[in-house]
Amino acid sequence: MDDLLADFVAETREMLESIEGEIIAWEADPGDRERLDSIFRFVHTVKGNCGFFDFPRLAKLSHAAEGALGEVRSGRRAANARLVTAVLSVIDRIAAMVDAIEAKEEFPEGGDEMLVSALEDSEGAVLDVAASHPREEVQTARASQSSAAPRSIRLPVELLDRVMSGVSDMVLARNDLARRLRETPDAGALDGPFERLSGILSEVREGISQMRMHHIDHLYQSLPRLVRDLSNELGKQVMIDFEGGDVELDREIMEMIRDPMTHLLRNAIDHGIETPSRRIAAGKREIGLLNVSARHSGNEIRLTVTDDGKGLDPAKIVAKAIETGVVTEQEASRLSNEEKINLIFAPGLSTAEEVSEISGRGVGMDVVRANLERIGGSIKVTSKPGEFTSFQLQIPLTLSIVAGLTVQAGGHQFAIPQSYVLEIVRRRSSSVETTTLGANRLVKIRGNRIPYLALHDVLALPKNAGKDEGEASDLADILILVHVSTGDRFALGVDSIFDYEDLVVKPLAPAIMATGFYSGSTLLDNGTPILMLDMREIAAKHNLVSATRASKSPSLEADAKKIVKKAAEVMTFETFDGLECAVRMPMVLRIDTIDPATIDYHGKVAQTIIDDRLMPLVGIGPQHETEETVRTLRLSDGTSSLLYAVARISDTQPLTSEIVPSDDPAYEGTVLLNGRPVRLIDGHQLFAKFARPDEASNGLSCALPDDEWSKAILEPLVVAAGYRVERNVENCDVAIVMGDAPPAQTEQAAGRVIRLRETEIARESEQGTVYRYDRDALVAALSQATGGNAA
Amino acid sequence: MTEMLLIANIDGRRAAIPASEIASVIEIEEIVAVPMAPSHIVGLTAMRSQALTVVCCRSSLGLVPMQYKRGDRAVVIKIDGHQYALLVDEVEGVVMSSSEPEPVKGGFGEHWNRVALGKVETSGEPAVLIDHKQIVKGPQALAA
Repeated sequence: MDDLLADFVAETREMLESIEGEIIAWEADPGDRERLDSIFRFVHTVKGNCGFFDFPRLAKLSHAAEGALGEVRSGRRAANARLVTAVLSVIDRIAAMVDAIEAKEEFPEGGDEMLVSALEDSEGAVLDVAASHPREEVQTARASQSSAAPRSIRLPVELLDRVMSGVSDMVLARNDLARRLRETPDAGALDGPFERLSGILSEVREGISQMRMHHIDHLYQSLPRLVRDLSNELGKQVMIDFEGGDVELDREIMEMIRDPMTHLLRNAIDHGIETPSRRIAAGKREIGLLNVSARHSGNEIRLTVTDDGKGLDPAKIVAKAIETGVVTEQEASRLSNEEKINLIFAPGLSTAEEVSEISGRGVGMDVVRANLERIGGSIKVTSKPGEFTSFQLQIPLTLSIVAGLTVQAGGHQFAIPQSYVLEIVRRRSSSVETTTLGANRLVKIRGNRIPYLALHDVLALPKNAGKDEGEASDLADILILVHVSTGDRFALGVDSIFDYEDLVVKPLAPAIMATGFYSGSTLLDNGTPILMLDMREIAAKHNLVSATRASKSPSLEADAKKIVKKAAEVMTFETFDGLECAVRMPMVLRIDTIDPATIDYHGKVAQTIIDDRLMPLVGIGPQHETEETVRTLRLSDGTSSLLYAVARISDTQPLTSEIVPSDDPAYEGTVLLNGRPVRLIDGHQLFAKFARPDEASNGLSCALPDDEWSKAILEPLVVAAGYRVERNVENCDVAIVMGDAPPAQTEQAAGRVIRLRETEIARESEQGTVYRYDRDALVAALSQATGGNAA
Repeated sequence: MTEMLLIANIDGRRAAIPASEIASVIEIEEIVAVPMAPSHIVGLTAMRSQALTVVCCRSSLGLVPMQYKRGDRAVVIKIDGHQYALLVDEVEGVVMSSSEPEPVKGGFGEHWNRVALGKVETSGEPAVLIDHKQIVKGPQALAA
């Protein structure tokens, strides 16, 4: 019997959830027969089940609702707002009773009759249904229902979790096995089956992760009701619109963003969207629009909540922030508007002139942000006064698998969630200045002074034993630039870094969690447990996350601006000839890795294919021919680009020393970097010599005759010469026509005309024409024809 | 009522833990230290690809910590979904209790009182029945 009862509760809940939207839709369009039918079916089913289980009150309520809806169905009665409200109240009451049934509690007596009579006599009854149904009760009923919502997959959640953690363990066991296989000689025969096992396991793992996934629609379903209730209460008209309902999200995360989402919507309706009269006065539609959209973006979900209300007023927010001491006046004056409105996430800031019942529940935007950050997400706001406010939320896809960077400090290994890592700076290869201010230290990375923490100090570990104590600077070898939240950055010093790995993070025992340094543990491939660092807490412990987080970043940026005479930066590398060279940073477009098979060494300069284009490849010749992939710098002068093959890329660093001119024209001169002479590549010379113009780089167009020969043979030649082929004769800079073309065609040509002839030897009538296979003459004619334009 | 008890040796004393609470007894391999953790938390160790929190029973009692080495025995228990390995000097074996736990006049002494549930008689010598949850909590529970 208990099992049946549990099924009844689960089934009713599931139906309740899906029916919510239907009711709102039905209210908007009472003539919608389909919605009416599904609501009718719901109460009918509940009534049927109640008879079986002997819940007389539930049966009576559902019976009354069924009766009223039945009358509407048969056309004897029209659906009006009062009826809808009455039906809603009944459904709420059913939900609350179902909760009580599950909790094996007695549902408080009374109230049912009023609900029933509200249903029965919608015309005459003057009784206020809302009053008979205290708001709080609805709230609690909703809250408990929503928290139980994911259970509706009809599978004990615990079982699902157990299977999940089982699969995670299998992955770890597989990794362990892999390690042992590697260590075992002559285990070759096991490779095949092991590969197969690995393959199957990753498939299972993927499947299991999907089991945790839910369409975000699930979250959306509960929102229209919230919007309806709130807007009714506040006398506003609000329409809510959803996008991306099929985006999938870990159900655990979905539960964790439910409250922040609800809060954002409450805020939007309460403070954002104006009353209908004000909206009309402002020239807007009477009905306010709320938009919630979700989309995938790499490893995270981006959720946007936008309202077309009055927007945020930066001046007001700043005034409040100054009043509550979040920022000083001086700091505030340096903030951009965007930074100003993002102050609403600072603790203790509520901009509402009076705290209202709806959003003034002691939950501020700081709590919303804290909740999101706890799951590794983030939030920011943009707004235009009078037009809109838009909150952008970034949420990780799943909680249990985290991409992490493994590091070592003081002889211990730790993992850092990759989402916190901005950049890794190797101190050995780039100059990092430090300053000590009081007891704290700052490092200067590319002109920004950033607080510095050594991980071994943070964890009170001994300094890396292998390190030479006599070294001038006691800065760690590797600095990890960490960002904890908008604008808050610090450099974490570690002894070495290992690798990025996908880590299956497990919770830690409470005693370890209580230290506040760790967020979980995970096992490495070799089976060793490793601790995941809680970067937020570590930053907070060192006062690196201030209440005025948003105000931190501008001062950093201001610092950067102050350093006007910022040194030019160069990238250093080693050529295939073993020379240490440097190239000015602005020239480097990016670093490409190319397949050696695509390199063509014939000709004066090697060339290779990249992005389906042939590119000159400098710095490598037939004597360097290699089987390995080749790293190249893609250099650009703005209009053309070329590739420079390098044996090894060292670093980027500021150009601090003087340039000593060199007699080799390929180099600007020699510079001193880290105490070593480095040749600085002369970009001018390089491009003058090797650059191949990018497509249509001369910006000129050429019209061709419309025949097969021109398309197959002439066009490639013209394109290679840097012209864009233009079909319309009137718009071209130069037109090529066949000698026998009618004069009319040539008269239209806007630019110069080149006539081609069929035979090698010109006839008398063909003066001034070019033989069509005389390549040099043709190219010369082209450049002559456009000479004036090009210059 | 009688029950199965695991008798372990902590600082030379016989301590009993109800066998029903014990998941297994393992030999410690490598322990990864947890910097900044309370002193009785020795670190983490892996058992069948799961991380266990290793607790030193002696430290938890406020005694001189154990100098553990590979192969030392630990008793694995589970509290609120977390697995702990309790480092003990020695594991004697499982015996049947022959009495209900009962208090002892004068208590068990400053270190043991916090974790002791009472004296139990076994087929051999009596032992102190200990509360494994208190062991895991460690000495800071006293201050709290």
